[in-house]
Amino acid sequence: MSVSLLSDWARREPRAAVLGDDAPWRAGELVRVGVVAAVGLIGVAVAWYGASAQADWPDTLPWASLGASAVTVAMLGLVAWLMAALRQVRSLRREVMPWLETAVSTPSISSTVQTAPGADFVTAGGMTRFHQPGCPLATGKLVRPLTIEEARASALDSCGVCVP
Amino acid sequence: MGGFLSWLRVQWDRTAAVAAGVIGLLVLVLGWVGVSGTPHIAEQLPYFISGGLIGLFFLGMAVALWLSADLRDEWRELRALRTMLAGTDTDKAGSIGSAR
Repeated sequence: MSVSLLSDWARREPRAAVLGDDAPWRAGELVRVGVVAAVGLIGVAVAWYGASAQADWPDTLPWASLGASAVTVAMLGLVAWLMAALRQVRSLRREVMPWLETAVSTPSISSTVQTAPGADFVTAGGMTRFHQPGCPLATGKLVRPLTIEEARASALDSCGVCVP
Repeated sequence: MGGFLSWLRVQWDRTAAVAAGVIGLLVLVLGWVGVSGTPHIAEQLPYFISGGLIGLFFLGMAVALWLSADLRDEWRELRALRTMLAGTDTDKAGSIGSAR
């Protein structure tokens, strides 16, 4: 299959659905995070209810501590979820990068790379990143050249694959 | 309008992040208004708990949702790349498939 066709397919692929998606955005993970967040919110509500019933401020301090603890638990739940997501992305990146480096150096793929002579970088309509001219993610697309100055002045991010 | 709703549905996590951020700021401001309206600490602490802590919670949730959206986009791009590379070489496809 040609790289250009695959690039078109990748561009057309809709953003995956929330439920049924790969980890860590599966339904089970989201429910777990939601439960932890709900526990935190309930803890804060209980703390507020307890504190508002006290007339002397020293009596409200334990309730304030409970509220702070509840928020901490909820935050830790969110952080744990993000860390799991980060680990998954890193794992996938480690898996893909060696194959990508091999694929870029393969003549059958390199011959289909659409380069822009004289350009430092390239980008295309709808892209949010700029790429090196030989980057597989820009291959087969109707790219326009960018100088270093133009790339720096633009709102585009640098590609994480070819790392321009 | 339909396009905007479709965008909201696809970008549910970024939409929720913005909503959580707005709610968090609003709750913080309401908490500040409540605290500044009374000189008694015993009356201020419930506002601190309801306004300050809940506002902090929603702001934290906004950050987490936005970071999750960025990670998920990267995950999707890497997955598409893996599929693309698997299609260019059957040997690689076998290796990649067995690696998962």
